[in-house]
Amino acid sequence: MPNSSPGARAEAPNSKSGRERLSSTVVSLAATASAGMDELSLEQALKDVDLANARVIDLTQRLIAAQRRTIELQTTVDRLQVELSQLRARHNQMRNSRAFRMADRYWRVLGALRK
Amino acid sequence: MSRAPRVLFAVAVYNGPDVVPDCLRSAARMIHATCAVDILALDDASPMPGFSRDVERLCGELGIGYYRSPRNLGIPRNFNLALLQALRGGYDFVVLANSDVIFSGRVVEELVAVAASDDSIGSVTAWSNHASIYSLPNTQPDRFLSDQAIVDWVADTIAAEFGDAAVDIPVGVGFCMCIPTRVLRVVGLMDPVFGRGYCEENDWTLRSKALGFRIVLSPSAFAYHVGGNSTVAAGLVSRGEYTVPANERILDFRYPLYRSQVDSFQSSEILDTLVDRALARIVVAAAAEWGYDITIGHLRGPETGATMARIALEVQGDGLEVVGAFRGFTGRMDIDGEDLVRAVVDRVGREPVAIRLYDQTLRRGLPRLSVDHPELVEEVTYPGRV
Repeated sequence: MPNSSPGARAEAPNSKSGRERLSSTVVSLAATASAGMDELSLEQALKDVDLANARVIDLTQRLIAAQRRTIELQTTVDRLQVELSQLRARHNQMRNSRAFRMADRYWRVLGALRK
Repeated sequence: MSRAPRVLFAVAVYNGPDVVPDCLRSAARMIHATCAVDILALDDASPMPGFSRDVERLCGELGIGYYRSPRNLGIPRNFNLALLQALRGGYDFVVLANSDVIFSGRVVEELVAVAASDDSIGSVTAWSNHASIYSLPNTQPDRFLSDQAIVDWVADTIAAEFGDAAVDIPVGVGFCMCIPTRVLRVVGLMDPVFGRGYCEENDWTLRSKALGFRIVLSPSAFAYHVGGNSTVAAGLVSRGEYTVPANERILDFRYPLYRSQVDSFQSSEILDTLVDRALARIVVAAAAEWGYDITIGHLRGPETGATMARIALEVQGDGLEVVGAFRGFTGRMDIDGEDLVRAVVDRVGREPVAIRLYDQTLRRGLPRLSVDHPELVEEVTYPGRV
C-alpha cells in the first residue's frame, strides 16, 4: 500500500482540498492493496496448511500415545479387578470356614462376658 | 520516533449492510494530524449478493483500500492478512477493527499515543460501550450512541478526564486494538486454530503477555460498538451470544490462570473507578453543554437524559446521593454538602432549566435548598394510581 507523506490525510476528508487529495490517492491505494494482498494471502494460506498439517500429525501422535496409555491402564485395571475378585472369593471362603465361625462365636461370647 | 508514525488501520468486513457503511465513513473521517494512516477494508468473501461490490465502491469514494479474499478465511486469518500487510508495508502500528464500530475522530491518535508511550506495551485496546468486561455501560447504545457526533463528543469528554492514560488489563479485546509492529515481529500472528473466530485476540494478547509485553486499555480511545454483528451474520454465534465455547476451552487449556486473573481484575476497583469517573465526567459535561434539569426523588424512565442531562437527588441509605443521566449513561456524582442543589450548580457551572420536586419529604430532609431562580422550582406530584 502506498503511503503519502506523514500526516498527508490529517485534513478533514469533507473539506474541499481534503476531498481532492483523497480522490487522487484512491485509485492507487485500492489497486495496490488488491494486487499485493492476493500474493500475501496465498503465501500465508500455504503456511497455514503446513501448520495445520503439523498440528494434525502432532495431535495424531498424541492421540496414539494417549490410546496406548489408556490400553495399558485398562489392562492394569482388568488385572487388578481379577486379583480383587480372587481375593474376595478367598476371603469369603475363609469367613465361611468352620474354624472362622467357631473363633467368631468365641470372640462374641468373650465380648458379652466382659460387658 | 522522529517522523510521524505510520499506521495501518484494518477493518475486517463480513456482510453487515446496516453497519459497514457507517463504520467505513467513520474510519475515513478520523483525524490523523500526528500520524500517517492508511485504511484497509478486508472483505472476508462476504456472500451477500452485491454487498462486496457496494463496499468496494464506497471504499473507492472514501479513499480506503479494499481487498476481497477469494474465499472465506475466518476472522483470525483475515486479521493475519492485516498484520502481514503491516509488516510488509513497513508500518509502525497496525489497528485491527471490527466493521460494526463507529470510531471517534481521535481514536487512532489516542491508541498510537498510548502504544508509543512505553516500549513494553504490546497492545492497546480501545474503550467502548461493548468491549467485553471493560464496557462503559449504556442502557440504549443503539439509540443514543450510534451517531458520529455523539461518539466524538463522548470520546473528547472522556479524553479530557483520562488523557493518555494506559490501564493494564488482563486480556485484550479485538473490536479495536492497536499493535506496534515491532511487537508483532516477536509475538507472531493470530493462531488459525481459532477457525472462524472468537478468542483469537485474547490468545494473542495472552501470548504477548507471556513474552513480557503489557496489555493495556486506552480509556480516551472511545468507539461505539454494536457487537457480534458479523459473527451472528456468519452463524458463528447465535444472536445474544458473545463467544464460542470451543475456543474458550482452548484458552483455558493454554492459560490455566487466565480466568482467575480476569476475576481478580474485576474484583479490583480499577474498572469501577474508571467507569465511575467517565460517567460522572460525561454527565457534568453534558449538563454544561446541553443544559440539565434537577429532580429531587426521581431519575428513572427510558427518556431520562435523552435530550439534555438530568441530575437527580435520590435516597441512598441514610442520606442523599447525586446521580446523573445523559443519553443512556447513568453515573453517580461525588457531590456532598448541606446544599446539594447549589453544589450541583457550582459543579456544572450553569443554572438548571428546571428543578422538579417529586418528593416533598426529601425537600424537608435537605437542610438547605437554595437556588438563584426560585421560579425554576416546580412541584410535581405523581399521577394517581390506576
